[in-house]
Amino acid sequence: MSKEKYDKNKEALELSNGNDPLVKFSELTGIQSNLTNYIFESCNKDPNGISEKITIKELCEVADTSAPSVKKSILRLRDKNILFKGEYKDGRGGWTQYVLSRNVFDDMKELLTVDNKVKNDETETVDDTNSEPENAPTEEISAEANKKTVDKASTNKPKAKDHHDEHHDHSFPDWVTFGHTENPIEAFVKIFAWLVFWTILEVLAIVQEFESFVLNMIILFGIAVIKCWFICSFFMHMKWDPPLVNYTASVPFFFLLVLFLAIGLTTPGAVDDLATICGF
Amino acid sequence: MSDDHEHHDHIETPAPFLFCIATAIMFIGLVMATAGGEDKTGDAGYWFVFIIGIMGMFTAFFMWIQDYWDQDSEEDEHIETHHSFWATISTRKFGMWIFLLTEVMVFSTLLSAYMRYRAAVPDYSPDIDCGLQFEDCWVPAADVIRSHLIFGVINTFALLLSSLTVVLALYAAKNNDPKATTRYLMVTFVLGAMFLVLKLWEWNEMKNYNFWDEGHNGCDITDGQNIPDHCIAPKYSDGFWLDTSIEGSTFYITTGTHGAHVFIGLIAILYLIAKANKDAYNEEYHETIELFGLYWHYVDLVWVFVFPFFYLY
Repeated sequence: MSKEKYDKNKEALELSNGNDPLVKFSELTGIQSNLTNYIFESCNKDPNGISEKITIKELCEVADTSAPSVKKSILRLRDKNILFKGEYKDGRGGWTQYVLSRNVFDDMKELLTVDNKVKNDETETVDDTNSEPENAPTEEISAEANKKTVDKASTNKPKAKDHHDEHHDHSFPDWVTFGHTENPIEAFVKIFAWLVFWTILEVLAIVQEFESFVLNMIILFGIAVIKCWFICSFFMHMKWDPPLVNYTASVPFFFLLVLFLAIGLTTPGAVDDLATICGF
Repeated sequence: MSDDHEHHDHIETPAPFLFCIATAIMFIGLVMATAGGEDKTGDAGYWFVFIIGIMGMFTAFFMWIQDYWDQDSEEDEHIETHHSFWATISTRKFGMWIFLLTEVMVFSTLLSAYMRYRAAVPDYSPDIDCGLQFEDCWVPAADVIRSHLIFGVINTFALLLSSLTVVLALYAAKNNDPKATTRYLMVTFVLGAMFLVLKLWEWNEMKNYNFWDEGHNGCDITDGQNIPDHCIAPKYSDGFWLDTSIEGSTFYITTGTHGAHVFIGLIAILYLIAKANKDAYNEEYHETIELFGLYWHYVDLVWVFVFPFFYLY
């Protein structure tokens, strides 16, 4: 038991050191922010930065929400590399020990220190750091973080929540949106306008009935690929997704190549006379 | 509820697995019933297997819905990962991408088969001998559709617009606006349904020779004549259908498979609408709409290639 506990917590610590968080603490809001604060408070008590044994019930009370919401938020925090799971116990009376991302932990600790320093300067008391109730400075951090979030939201009008659970910002290239826009909905409508434009161009090109086969193919496939890029990049979110999505999506291209070249453009007699069949 | 650990949140349902097995049984039954037997004309006994498969699909489908319906929130199974690379997206999203990967293979098979046939048969030209019925030349579906291309264009816009409305539904969910979420999903449903209705109407017209029967501007072609200005080849004089020619087979199988994907998407939208109506999607829980969006955009993406392949050229 003790060995396993050691291993899991140690593993979580290693992960927390080696993996950068995908978002900053200040970008967290709502339940996720509350939970992170609470877990930080617990981690801060331990010299190694490992939290106490925390139950879902505790977290529900902290975040003032239901167990599924808490579980979901914890998973999201883990997805964002904010939180790492250490030792745990399943079932009735279950609990989990967490480790915060080293970067996030350091940032929060720094905020706490600055905060305490300000407090000390204000009250001119010397020895209150150890006796200070844990909740107070944590709330300060939360306020600080929320302030930052609000500041960010006010600059990114009109919908701060749009940025809430995404890993990255939703910036669109200026040429795509005909100038800079912060409103993602407006930007997506413009993407749709682009797609309509390319479709009209495609149809008009065919109605023109160009003689050249090659020209027809270049127009049709070229426009299809352009439309494909717009849909994948923006509608399918690939521009902002982590590399894992792009790598996964690129796997079929190898098979597409095999299919279109080895099957699509040849005939059963290809092995006998490849050059003739392929029209070379 | 006990203090279960969060990784117990996911639903352990056998429904997806059963659905896959039932689908396989259904297809085996369908293929054997229509093209099995010693003379390859079909073995009627396999219709029983087909029906068993269909029943299994329905049972598993409703099991699946039932398992999710009572959830307060979405489930999000999380697999332990030992490298952050694999934890950068949720397991469900990764699963959806793997699924889309297999879907790419399905459609690229159909499109490459089309290219294979098309490359093997010369396109119609007055300069070459195409046979009396033009049976030795490729007279594309695009020629049949040309006079009514507007419906294909409308369908293209409908799918593109429905992709936009899915995105808007997702944003509405993220902004805790369940009414707008429901509304956008309903618009998506209507656009998808419109696509299918137009497609079925188009099929019917093509099958029954209606597209060029009226107002064809003297385009009746007798055997052996040239085909000027997209008049219809004699081999399509009884309509353009699945068994008319290889052009018909490739056209209907590809557009039919795409239509089936749209239809399945519509069933999924109905579920999303019902859930959105229960205020199930909000700032925290909206991943299901995002995953459905990926599927729907993919269906749109396929159409981006099917349209020029079959409607324009």
